[in-house]
Amino acid sequence: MDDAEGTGALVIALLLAGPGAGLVLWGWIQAKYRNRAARYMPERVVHHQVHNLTTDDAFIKDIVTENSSVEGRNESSHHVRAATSKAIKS
Amino acid sequence: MAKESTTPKAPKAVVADAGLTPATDVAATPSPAFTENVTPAGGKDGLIACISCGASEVTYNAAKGMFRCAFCRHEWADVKLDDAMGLSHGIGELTGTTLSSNAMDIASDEALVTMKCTGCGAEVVVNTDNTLQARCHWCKHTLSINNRIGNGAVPDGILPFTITKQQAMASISEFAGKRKTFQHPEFTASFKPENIMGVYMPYMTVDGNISAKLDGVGETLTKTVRREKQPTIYHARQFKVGRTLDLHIDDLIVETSSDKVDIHSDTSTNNIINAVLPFDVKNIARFDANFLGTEYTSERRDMDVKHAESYAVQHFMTIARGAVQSSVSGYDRGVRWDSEHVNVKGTRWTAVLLPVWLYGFVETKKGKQITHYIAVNGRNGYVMGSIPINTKKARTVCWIVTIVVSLITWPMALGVVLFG
Repeated sequence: MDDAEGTGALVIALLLAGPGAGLVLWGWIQAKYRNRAARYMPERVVHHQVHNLTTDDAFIKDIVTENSSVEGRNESSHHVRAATSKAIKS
Repeated sequence: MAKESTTPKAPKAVVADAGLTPATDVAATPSPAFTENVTPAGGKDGLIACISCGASEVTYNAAKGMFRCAFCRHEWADVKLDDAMGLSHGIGELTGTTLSSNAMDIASDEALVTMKCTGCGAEVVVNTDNTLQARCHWCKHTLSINNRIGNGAVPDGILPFTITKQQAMASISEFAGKRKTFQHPEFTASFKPENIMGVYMPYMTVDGNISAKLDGVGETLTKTVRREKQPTIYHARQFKVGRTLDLHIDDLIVETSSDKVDIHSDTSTNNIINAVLPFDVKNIARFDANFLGTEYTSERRDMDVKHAESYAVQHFMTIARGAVQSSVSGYDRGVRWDSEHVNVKGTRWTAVLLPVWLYGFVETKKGKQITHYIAVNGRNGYVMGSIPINTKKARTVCWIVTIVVSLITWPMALGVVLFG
């Protein structure tokens, strides 16, 4: 049973290797030629000073999950807005 | 050459007020909601004569940071705006909206400005959509617009080109050369680096005094259980994560040309122009039309602060998110920010022209036109571009790779099935 499953996974991987290689090449061409993701990165290049940084962290619960990271992880996607995003002028 | 025998010598400094047409000669009247940061006086409008010889043809030597009279070689320095207007100071004390004199709202869409030449009295029309200088067709003097007009064409400051056309041509040639294999044949056939244009693009520099509050969920891993035949299980501790901070942001750069600010990859590649930011805006000089000369064109801003504000706020949020990144590094399973709030306490806006070498190619694809840009930062030479792809060739190569790899791996798969 174990051998059968391992064999099945290997067969699927071998079958997908060709189409996968084609798709990866297509994505690489698009990225290299079109540069759609190129953008102004103010978080890296604009001079800014942080003052009065305060943290307010609190334990909620222990969890058991099959996800390898927190669902909806976005701490590194600085330019993608959070679910709730609001600005006010005071 | 503007030095003609008909032109009397001007014994003293700059001369001649130009008679701007009433429709565009709008006084800088700040809205009560704004505080004005007065831009220091620069050159006057109209005929600006060399204090040494009276000629009006002036060039800018970027290497020396000096203007030079093309006739007698007399040189004089530009005025640095950052020091003159205190643009690097007092960000933490900013409240409300502070606008420099030329960042005020646009009061007219009229691009054509008529000036009266003080050399000979002729009327000269300047198309401010792409320049702020014109030569009098009678006496050959160069006339300049250096001070605020209602259509937003004149900025407070300008950052002169230091990258030469030859350097920019070499940069885009190298950029395109590294992307030759799948280039669209029409692009390859028509690619002429010498067609690159030096354009002064309209932007605002924005200083911001803001506070931000971020809330989300973070997790730390406590145990990983790898199981046979079943997905791996992760045991983790979940936390509510909150951050509040004050941010003093110095010289954010925001687009003020409406057709460049929106990024739609199906019709244009405006993201490319933004990707060559930033610029060394601390070196911005008080605007003088002589920076444009004959080699460069300028684009007129058509967005006011109230339109550009939403883009600046988006950038403020992005900066805030980046600023707290290191404080959440302990959450090894990551953080999901659910809400972000920014309180803009004060902003300071300055209208500027920034130097970009721009090469454009219009691709027609399925009846739609897409403008591809290759842009070179006119100060540091950084290059970014979008090269149209020969889709047919790219697809063919991808299919060949797919088939070749499959021809190797599929028999292997068959062998595994048959022989274990």
